Amino acid sequence: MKLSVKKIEFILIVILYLSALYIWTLPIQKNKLPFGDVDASSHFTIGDYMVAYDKSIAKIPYPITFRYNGQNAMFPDYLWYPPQYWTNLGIAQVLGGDRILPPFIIVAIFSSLIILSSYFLIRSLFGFWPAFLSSFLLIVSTRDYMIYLWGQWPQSLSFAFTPMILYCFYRYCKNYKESQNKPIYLYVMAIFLSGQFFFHPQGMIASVAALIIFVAILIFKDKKIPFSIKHLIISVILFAFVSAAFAPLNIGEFFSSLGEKQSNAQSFQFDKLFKWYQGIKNDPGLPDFYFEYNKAHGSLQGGLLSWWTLPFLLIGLFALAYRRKEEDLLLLGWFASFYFLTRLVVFGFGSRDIRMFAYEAHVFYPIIAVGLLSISSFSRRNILRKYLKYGLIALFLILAVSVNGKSTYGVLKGQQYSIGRINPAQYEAAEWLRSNVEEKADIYNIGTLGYQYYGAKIKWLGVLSQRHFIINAEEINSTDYIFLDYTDALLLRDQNYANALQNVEKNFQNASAIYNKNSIKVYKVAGIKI
Amino acid sequence: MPELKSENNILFGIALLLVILVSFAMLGLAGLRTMLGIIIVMFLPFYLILDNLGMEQREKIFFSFFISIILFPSLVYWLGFVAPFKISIFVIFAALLIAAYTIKKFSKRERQLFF
Repeated sequence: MKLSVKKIEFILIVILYLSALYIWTLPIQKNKLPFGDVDASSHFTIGDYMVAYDKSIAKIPYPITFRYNGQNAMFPDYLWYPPQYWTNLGIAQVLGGDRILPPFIIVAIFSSLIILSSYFLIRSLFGFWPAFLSSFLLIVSTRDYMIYLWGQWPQSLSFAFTPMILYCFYRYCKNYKESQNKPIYLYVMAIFLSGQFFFHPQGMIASVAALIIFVAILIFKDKKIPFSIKHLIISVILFAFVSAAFAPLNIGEFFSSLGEKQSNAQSFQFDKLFKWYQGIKNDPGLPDFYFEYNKAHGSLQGGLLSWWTLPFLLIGLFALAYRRKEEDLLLLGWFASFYFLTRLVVFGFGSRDIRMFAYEAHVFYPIIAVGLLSISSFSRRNILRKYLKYGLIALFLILAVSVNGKSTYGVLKGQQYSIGRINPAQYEAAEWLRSNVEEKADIYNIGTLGYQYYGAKIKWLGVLSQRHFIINAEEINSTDYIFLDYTDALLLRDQNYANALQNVEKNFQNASAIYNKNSIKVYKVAGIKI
Repeated sequence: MPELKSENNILFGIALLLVILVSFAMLGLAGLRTMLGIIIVMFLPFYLILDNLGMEQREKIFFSFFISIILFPSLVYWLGFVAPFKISIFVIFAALLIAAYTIKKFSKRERQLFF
């Protein structure tokens, strides 16, 4: 069998994605227990319930109802997002035959899918090398792996659909222009848009904005509409049908929340139009590095070398604007829509525009790769052009590995034994609670790291035990059990921490521990005031 | 043409073998089961359906994977209200395989409708 270029490409992309999976699954390779901040535990728990009770669920399970009840404005007791992402995690549990690892494998696949979808789009627009390089850089994208670690998993998956949608629309328009009607691309696009709606509407908004700008550019350039109105109407109906059929309890919530955000819009801030990050960092939930180019697109440690992608980004933008072929215009349209969506507040819409920075790397990295490779076209001599091209590719790979890659590897490997994760003793205690404590028990945690400020570990204990762990002060009076946990204090070797817990435990001298194992005790305290 | 098809099959076989080896080495038996489960139960039926719609090879691969993670859980979720969740997964898998077979059987007529 002769290996053609296409076949070598295929093998290379398989190796590229397997390397990505190796990096992205580092947190679960040596430690099979859960990880993930913020909402991660809630994304895990719905699928977990479906498998545990062997049926689909529509209502919010009791342990997390205190956090999410009412977030679905139209049906307050029902799931606050469409169920597709969580159902996928439940399916993974069944297929993988394990409660924890398979859902985390599918989360790693979904969170890194942008690497494949970006490759698919850029390969068809600009060829192999720009696609390969931009996908390579996406493996080590700080924005993307941080969102993965923070647990904003459905959002990650939703953004991964945007390149697929752009591809479908681009292919459709191209065929339409050449009088070859292939509406199938528009219909597939409608299904992908429904997928974005299911996983996270932010992705859908990003795609629609990019499509609108691309269409506007094409109309301006060709002086005609680049699609058939009939095909467009059919695809809109298809989108509405799929969305309504598979997420009937959430579609109304989406439109009502759109209205809410507009009425809450902040005052106009025109200066944001002329700044990229400055003046935008106003979300207490996002760290400073999120708004520093060299840290977000280089090494988390920063430094001069971490700016290495910026010149190529600027060259890429220049090259696209200079060439202005249709594929260039598509990428520019995507870039322009990103610019507007991250500045929505200027136009009086919403107050969460900074959340759109989540997909910055998806737009930037293909432009960086195009910019890098366009440098070689400055040379008029063919042989020199070839050497320059491969020299630049080598430089790109070296910098991507030594700057971005080193930082990424350190962060993801560092998660393996992070104190921020559930430890085996805590997992065992949570499993015990699940089997031995009534379903609607309210448990108050003392001792687990982060218990003082509603840490992620408390939320994880709640979903692993499928019991309600109290995190709001006003619920304390309904406490049925005390979960007294010395394990984190011992792992941190912090004697003061352990002593403080012992002092608290003296309050329960009259009660007997119904669980006492691995430095974790559970007291039944009904009737005892805390 | 048949020679080309068998070359493609060899290539897919190599890719699948790589996926199997790497997932087992990285994540053990649960990793291997999950990866194979996703490929066979979720991806394959949609690939077989799209195989009848006159698309390019890489379009079929990418589209079917992305469509599968939208539609497969959607169908399982609804069936999971009337049948056990775990059984629903395999019922939907079987139903999609039957759909792929039916579409293939009537593909000529289907193609005329679509294009």
